[in-house]
Amino acid sequence: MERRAFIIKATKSIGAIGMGALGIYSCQSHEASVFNGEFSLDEVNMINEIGEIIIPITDTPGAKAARVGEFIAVVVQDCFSDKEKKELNATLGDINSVCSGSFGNDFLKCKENERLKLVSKMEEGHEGYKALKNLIVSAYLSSEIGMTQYFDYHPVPGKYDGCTTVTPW
Amino acid sequence: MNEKEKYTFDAIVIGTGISGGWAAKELCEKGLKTLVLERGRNVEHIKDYDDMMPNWELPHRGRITNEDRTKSPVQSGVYNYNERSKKYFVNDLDNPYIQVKPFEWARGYQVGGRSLIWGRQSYRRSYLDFEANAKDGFGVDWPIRYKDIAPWYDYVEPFVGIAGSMEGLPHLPDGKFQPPMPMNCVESEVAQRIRGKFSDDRMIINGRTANYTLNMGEGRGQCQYKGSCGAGHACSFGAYFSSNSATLPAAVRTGNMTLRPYSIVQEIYYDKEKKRATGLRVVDTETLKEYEFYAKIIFLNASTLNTAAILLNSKSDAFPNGLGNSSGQIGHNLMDMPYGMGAQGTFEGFEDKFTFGNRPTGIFVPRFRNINKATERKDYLRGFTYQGGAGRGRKGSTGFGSDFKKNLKEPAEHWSMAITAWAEHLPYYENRMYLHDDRKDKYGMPVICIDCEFKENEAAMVDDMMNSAAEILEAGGLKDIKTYNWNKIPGSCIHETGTARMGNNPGTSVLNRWNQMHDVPNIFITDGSAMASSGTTPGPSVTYMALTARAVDYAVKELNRRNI
Repeated sequence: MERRAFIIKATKSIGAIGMGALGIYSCQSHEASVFNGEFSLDEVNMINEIGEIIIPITDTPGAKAARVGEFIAVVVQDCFSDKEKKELNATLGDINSVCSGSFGNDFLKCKENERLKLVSKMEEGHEGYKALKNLIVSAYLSSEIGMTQYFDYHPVPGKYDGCTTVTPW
Repeated sequence: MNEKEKYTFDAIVIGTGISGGWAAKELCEKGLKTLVLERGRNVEHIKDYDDMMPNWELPHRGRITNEDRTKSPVQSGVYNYNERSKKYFVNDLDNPYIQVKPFEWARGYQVGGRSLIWGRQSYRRSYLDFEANAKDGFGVDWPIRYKDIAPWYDYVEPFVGIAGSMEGLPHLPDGKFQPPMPMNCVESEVAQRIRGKFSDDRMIINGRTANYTLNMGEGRGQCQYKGSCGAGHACSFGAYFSSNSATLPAAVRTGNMTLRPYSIVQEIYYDKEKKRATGLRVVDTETLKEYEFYAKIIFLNASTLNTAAILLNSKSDAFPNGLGNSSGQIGHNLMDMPYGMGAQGTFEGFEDKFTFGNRPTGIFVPRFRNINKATERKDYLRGFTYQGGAGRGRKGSTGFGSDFKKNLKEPAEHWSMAITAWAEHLPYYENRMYLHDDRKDKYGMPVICIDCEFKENEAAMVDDMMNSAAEILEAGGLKDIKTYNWNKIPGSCIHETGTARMGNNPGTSVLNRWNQMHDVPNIFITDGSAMASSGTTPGPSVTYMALTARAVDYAVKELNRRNI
């Protein structure tokens, strides 16, 4: 139920983009950037795209289909401390500035091979990226796609077997 | 009919948690018209549960929000407080209390109380627990012995529904159990390996839990191993014991129960001529209107701290320091249980084996200290037990891309196992709660101050609880053993007890051997406040249940004999 409310909220802000485009041009980029109190739509997309590189579509959908960016935006807004918020924003800023330095573009404007290079570079040891990656993994695994398609879903196991030969997931 | 007659019942029960639910059931089944008061809202069994809602439909998928932390700074730290269970915990801002010393007071104000979110481990106290105070002189002697309560454990357990194994241990008495929930292969192996390895006979047995391995009838099905009870989410299969699933429906079936939610009891009235309580005053939390109800007997089951608060707030000429408080003991001798010291390790073997289903219990290590001369400790009194279990998680993955994704499913190389200690907290007079002189909550009730700490004896056990856990795991063949201490503050075990203790002497205790107030014979108190000691073995609720059934039996007999 709450989830539905969230989708409506997201749709509303997309509506606001249209309004902005029809109305005062100078506000368009500002209006378009709003996702919630903490994140812009660009940042949500950026997390989704980074997520898709970390957890791509294979025989099951990837992070983008699981909308990890949207979920993380809600968690950051509602659950994170100011310090955690600042750190995550700094990480996204860092990623964009590394992209600009290396490829002359923000992450979202980079080509696919450039994005892959960026993630490889971050994997070498960027603390903020590590935290973002953990968030993406947890967002993916806790999503409907993660729980029902990536993992086997047993909402009502019906029994306990303390010695079975297959993983329960 | 005047107002007073209109609101007169045979009995009133204050509180609907574990013990209040039992008082309601027993009184109603004995034919008494019973008013059951609950300060919180109603929670209807199954109908009001949301345990079947998939986790991904929760806006934060279980996470605690900043708003939760602001509204409930204490509750949000309780182990099973989460996005779904939080509706069963109070808003701390609306329900303030003062921590003179740090004390985590977990509270669930609703019909069913904390029975909706309890830990469900259920162990009888043994002869050692009932003799301990007399032996070492801490607290006052229990006015009962194990033999007095044993038939009442026998009476309540089949209705509670406890899965457990028969072990034949005098220091951990067997009960009327359903078949136990099985150990997994690593737990069984470790249990077998440690048998006979310790001169003090340490052993690992099945945890005893109020979850059903047998069908209990309507609204009380067998455990489906969903794991929702452990997370505080209640159970749509009704597969664990709660007031909502078991005792209150039984009371409803008699036609004798009137349940009134949103009713905070603030004061019990006393008639000094008759030397009896006559009734009580309630504030309706929705309208803030006051109501008076009258009855021949009152069962006070508001939980340890609130039960004492109601008594201390019931002042009269006869009892200027609180109703039934001629001993001056009400609010004192507050205990919890220290816990959270243990050890963990990894197990080599069974690499091709896993577990399926979420078992709502684990393994248990009965006490092995201070049982007899051979196990006597010089450095501390009484003892502790362990709860724990073995499991197999996922390994975690490195890198990114399709291999990373695939490897996220890889199981951990080895099983791991941990055991954690729960220990006795001695009764100290100076550990207490009292009412604040001026501060009141929004319903006009004086705010509770809690001044409670662990002392030397509790501290003296800490190292032994960690080291003995490591020894057990080592004997079981575990590797990479590490000890830990969660450094829990008092209250966080949610086993608060002792504020209206039982005892033989009216000068030093509040209740007699029947949980009847020494000073006010038609008030019975059978929640945690009645405890004269915390006991060494946790799972105290089944003791409250047994004492409640026993007290109701006595109270109704006394009522029929016209003694009260």
